Amino acid sequence: MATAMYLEHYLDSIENLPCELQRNFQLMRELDQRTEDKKAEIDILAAEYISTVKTLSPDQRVEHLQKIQSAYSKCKEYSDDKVQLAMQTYEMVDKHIRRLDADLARFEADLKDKMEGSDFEGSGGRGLKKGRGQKEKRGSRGRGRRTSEEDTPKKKKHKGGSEFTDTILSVHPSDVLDMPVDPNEPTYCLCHQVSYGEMIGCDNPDCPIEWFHFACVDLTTKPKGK
Amino acid sequence: MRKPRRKSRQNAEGRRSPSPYSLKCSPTRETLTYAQAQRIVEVDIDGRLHRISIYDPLKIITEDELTAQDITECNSNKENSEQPQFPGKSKKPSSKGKKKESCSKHASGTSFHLPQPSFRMVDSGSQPEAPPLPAAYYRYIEKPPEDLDAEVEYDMDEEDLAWLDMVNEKRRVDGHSLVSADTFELLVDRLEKESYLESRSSGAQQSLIDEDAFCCVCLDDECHNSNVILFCDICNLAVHQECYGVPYIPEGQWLCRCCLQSPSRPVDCVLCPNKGGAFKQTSDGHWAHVVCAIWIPEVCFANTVFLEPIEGIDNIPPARWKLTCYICKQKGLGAAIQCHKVNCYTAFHVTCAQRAGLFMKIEPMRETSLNGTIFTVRKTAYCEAHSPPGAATGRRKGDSPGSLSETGDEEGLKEGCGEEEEKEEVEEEEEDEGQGGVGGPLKGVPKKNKMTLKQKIKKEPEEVGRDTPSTVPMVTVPQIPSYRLNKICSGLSFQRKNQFIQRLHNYWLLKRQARNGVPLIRRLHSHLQSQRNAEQREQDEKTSAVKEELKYWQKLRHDLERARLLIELIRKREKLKREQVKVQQAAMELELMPFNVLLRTTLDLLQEKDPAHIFAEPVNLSEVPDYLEFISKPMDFSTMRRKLESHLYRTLEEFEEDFNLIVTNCMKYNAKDTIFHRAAVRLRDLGGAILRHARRQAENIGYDPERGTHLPESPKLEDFYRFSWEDVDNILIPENRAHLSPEVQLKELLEKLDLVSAMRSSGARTRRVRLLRREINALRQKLAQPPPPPQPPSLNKTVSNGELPAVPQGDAAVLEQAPQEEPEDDGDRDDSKLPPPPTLEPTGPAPSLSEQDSPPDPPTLKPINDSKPPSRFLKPKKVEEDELLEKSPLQIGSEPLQCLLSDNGINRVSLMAPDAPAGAPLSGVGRRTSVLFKKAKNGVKLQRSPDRALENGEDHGAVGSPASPASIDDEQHSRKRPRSRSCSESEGERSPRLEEETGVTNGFGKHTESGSDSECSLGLSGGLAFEACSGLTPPKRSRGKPALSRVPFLEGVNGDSDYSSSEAS
Repeated sequence: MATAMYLEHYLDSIENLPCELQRNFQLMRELDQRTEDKKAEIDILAAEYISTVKTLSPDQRVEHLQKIQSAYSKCKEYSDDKVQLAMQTYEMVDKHIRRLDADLARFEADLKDKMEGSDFEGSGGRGLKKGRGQKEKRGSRGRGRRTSEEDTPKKKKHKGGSEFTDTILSVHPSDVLDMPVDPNEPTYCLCHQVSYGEMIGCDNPDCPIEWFHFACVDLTTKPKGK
Repeated sequence: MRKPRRKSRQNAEGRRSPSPYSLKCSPTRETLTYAQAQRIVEVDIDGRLHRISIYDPLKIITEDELTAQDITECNSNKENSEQPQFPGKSKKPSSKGKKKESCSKHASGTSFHLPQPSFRMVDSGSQPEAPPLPAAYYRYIEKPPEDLDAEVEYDMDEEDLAWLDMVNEKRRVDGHSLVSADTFELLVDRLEKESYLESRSSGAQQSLIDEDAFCCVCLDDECHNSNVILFCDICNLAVHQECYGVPYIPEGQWLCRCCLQSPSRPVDCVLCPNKGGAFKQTSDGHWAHVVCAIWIPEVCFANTVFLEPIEGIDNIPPARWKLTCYICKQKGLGAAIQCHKVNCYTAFHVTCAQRAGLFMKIEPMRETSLNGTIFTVRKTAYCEAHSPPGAATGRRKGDSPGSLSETGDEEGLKEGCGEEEEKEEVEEEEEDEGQGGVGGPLKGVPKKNKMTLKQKIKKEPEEVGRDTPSTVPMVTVPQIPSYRLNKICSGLSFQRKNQFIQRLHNYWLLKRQARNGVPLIRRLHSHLQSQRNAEQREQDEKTSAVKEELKYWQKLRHDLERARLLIELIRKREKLKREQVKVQQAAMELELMPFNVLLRTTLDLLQEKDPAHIFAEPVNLSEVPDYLEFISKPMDFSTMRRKLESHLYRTLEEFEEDFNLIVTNCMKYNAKDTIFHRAAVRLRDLGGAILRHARRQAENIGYDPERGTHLPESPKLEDFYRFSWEDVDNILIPENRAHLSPEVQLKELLEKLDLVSAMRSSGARTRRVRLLRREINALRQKLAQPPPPPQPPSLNKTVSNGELPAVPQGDAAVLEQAPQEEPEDDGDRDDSKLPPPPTLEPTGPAPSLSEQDSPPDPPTLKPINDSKPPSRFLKPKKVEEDELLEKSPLQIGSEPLQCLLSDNGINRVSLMAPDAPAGAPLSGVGRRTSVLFKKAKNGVKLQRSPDRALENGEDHGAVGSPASPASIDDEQHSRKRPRSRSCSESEGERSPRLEEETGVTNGFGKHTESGSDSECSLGLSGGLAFEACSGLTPPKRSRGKPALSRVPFLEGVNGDSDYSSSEAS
């Protein structure tokens, strides 16, 4: 369809996504493997240390422990890499999703225009009757929906785009509403619920919870600054 | 479409013409000879063939004789009742009725003698070869429209036939050849198709909704969402939902009642002569206009929602039927209403009035009138003459009522005539039935009507142009251009063709209009619709395709969402894994070197108690070059840490030793009243608790000193923390622990103190803590000064003293200070050669003690102040800072004070002995402190406040003592001493304190605040200045001299002086 050129483009752009995902996951897997190896090594070292510690001089002990230490730091390095990689991957998919959302919004807007136009010429025969039926159809739209908000939390509180995506998706809520709720969906916040509505991110990079619902932290608007 | 029906009827009649000959035609009857057949009547009853000889006598059975036994007989009996009419009519059974009759007659006669079955084998009979069946199913394949276009699809109906007959009659009169029905059909077909093409080519818009369509019931073109105007999909009738009783709009097509129930036959209203409009069926199966039903008072709707069926027509009084409509001038056709004006009897049909645009207003309560409950018609329907002014004109757009009424009239007339014809036809048919003639409808048509019709036809052409818009539902008949007309008839040749075509065209137009512009060929109509539908479908397909696509995208979106979700989970997992690695590392550390971990945490805790980081780093020897002269083994936290990391501590004792080293070093090197000394004391106190705790932990956990790992089995745990207040109370009573050595007692007490301190704070706790502290202090004192025999009593005295003023800080401070004095002095002097403590103690309670101390200090300052005025101006900033520092925390002191006090006790116990020999060094120490002070100054603020508080405590003590006259004498001495001293101990901390002391002591009016400030600053600057000086002055001298000079009297006099204690450390 000519109108959906951008969607075609989108298809092209998303073509690589699986490969990239696979590559990233592969990489993560490798790192994981290495981490596991290191851990095994550490275990061996530890056992060795415990068995020989009596005979070791303090210096030797320190040396031995240093080895374990360095192995651990390697482990941590790998872990950091993995987290970084996961975040990158997430960003990548998120980017695609945002683009798709925008495109979809465009598509739907186009569609609406076209439908309206064609309705105008096509419905004449059925007269007012038809016009009415259409109205009913329109009435069934426009419910709020969870998934639309689903992605808003991922953009931090200061993301201007969230309203945008909201408006896009609220145009066509019913279809995405059908999305089954994923039982594995990660939970956030103090309440351990899935994300919904506006959320606020903890600025502490090591925060274990990361995201909080506005309501759960008594927020109505996003606070300025950190 | 009447024609086909009639045709078929004719066919049927032909087939069934019940002559015996026809009976013989059936194969089975061929067995009969002609003669036989003549004499036999065959009757087919219930599938059985009865042959009755005409000569057989038929018995007549009356109803009475009938029994219900035989059903067949019953059936025949019914016909028997009719029997009497027929027998005489004709011998030959020429009609079906006759035949049946006769058969029933025969049947009844022979009913008891069943005919014998007779059959014969037919040899010669040959079955006609059936054509072989095709393998596939028969299928109806619709002819493509192109083929259909070529065919003649139009079938004439009665109307057409009548018209054609009339035309032909005329032609015959004129001497022209007749026009065959086929030609007529062909021409109409062409016209239809042309118009169809026309309508198609001229664009669909034309046939689309007319914006100004109005409901033909209420003549209103309003259209609300809840009450839209519907269009019948066949006749294009426009009605409001409410006006026609269509509460819900059906899916798909909607047909008006008459198109739904009588699609091929125009219906007419029983209540008025007018055709067209919105009809509903009456309860007796006739039709009537909805408007008529609304307006005629006696009539109502059975169901007021669906507005059907129409009831109460029987109730209409005969008078109403007889009224003559003044508009259509017809009498006896339908029921009319009358003008509502009093005394005006003008009558008119509802529809006529509507068309004429008379004033007919339904009251605001239209619903109720629709409901049939209230008819406000009488009030609001007026004849033309009585219409309220201005009301009549507004009714119709564009057209004047007059012309409208006329056209309506004419149409009504014409159509009425048509109807009449038909009715008469029907009647005639019924009448003619008996005569056996298939009465052609035309025969019975009164001549008069025919004439009017003809006139009509002649008139029509002129009218067509302006007629169209006036009919109630807007009718749009596509005009066929003349060249097309010519083309249509080009293939034909008959006389006066053009005239005929012209007429035909007009006739066709009228007919179309009568049918609301719906094509006469059904296919074209449905085709039009289907075309629309096709467009619709196309549209739908398009939208559905788009929807599919949309769905696809949404699915994609969904998938992406899931992917994102998964990645989010992965991210979380990785984060957790990272945490796990960290935890694992910590766990591994604990496993491999638990002891080190314990030491490290202990060290961390210890270091926390050193917020100023005084002990964090090794002493900088370039800053205090003489440090090593006093301190043989320097120690600090960083060194400890290094040792710890190198696994050099095998036991907690080693660790504790180093810690103690830090404290003692500091106390040794720094004068007693320096912040460093105080910090060390404080650290010792707090650190002691930490170390005790660590020791307990170590014991509980059980470490292998060889490996620094856990013991294979954890030692038996005694629950250290389980205790009761009784235990504490018990131990508080000296007699209960009398059997123990003082050291053990002290240890015991300290443990209890730890315990109690760990408790949640409560009244009981605070009290016991206080008591314990006191006991501990007492014990420490006892331990600290074992040799001198007179001491115990004195000690007891102090203790008792201490007990009295538990609250006032000053006293407590003094009290605790006093015991500190003594051991140090002891240490310094090595013996009781000069026993100041005893001398002090007996003198009395604390106040007297401090009384003696305080005086010497103030004088020491004075000279300093005098000697160093300029430096004050050099460092105003410092002054300010110090001022701030000194002023602020006067109140905070109480707690730290207590700590310090108990510390002092510990200090004494653990440190005095080793320090004692090194006691000689006195003043040189100050240099380091001053240097450190400068360094630490900014960082130490926090720490200083407690110190400050302590000083205040002392000050209070000093204040409490009355300034004795003896102090003046001391001044003289101290003038000397302070000199040397201030040289030796020129440290910033010291001098301000002294100043304040003086400030306060002299403060009984003498010193203003500014004065004290200035002094303070002076003192500080002096200290700083001296720092520089001291760098120049050889330490030996500074050390030696004051020691000498001071020994005899200064110490003796200043029992409380800090100098001495600082020297000791």
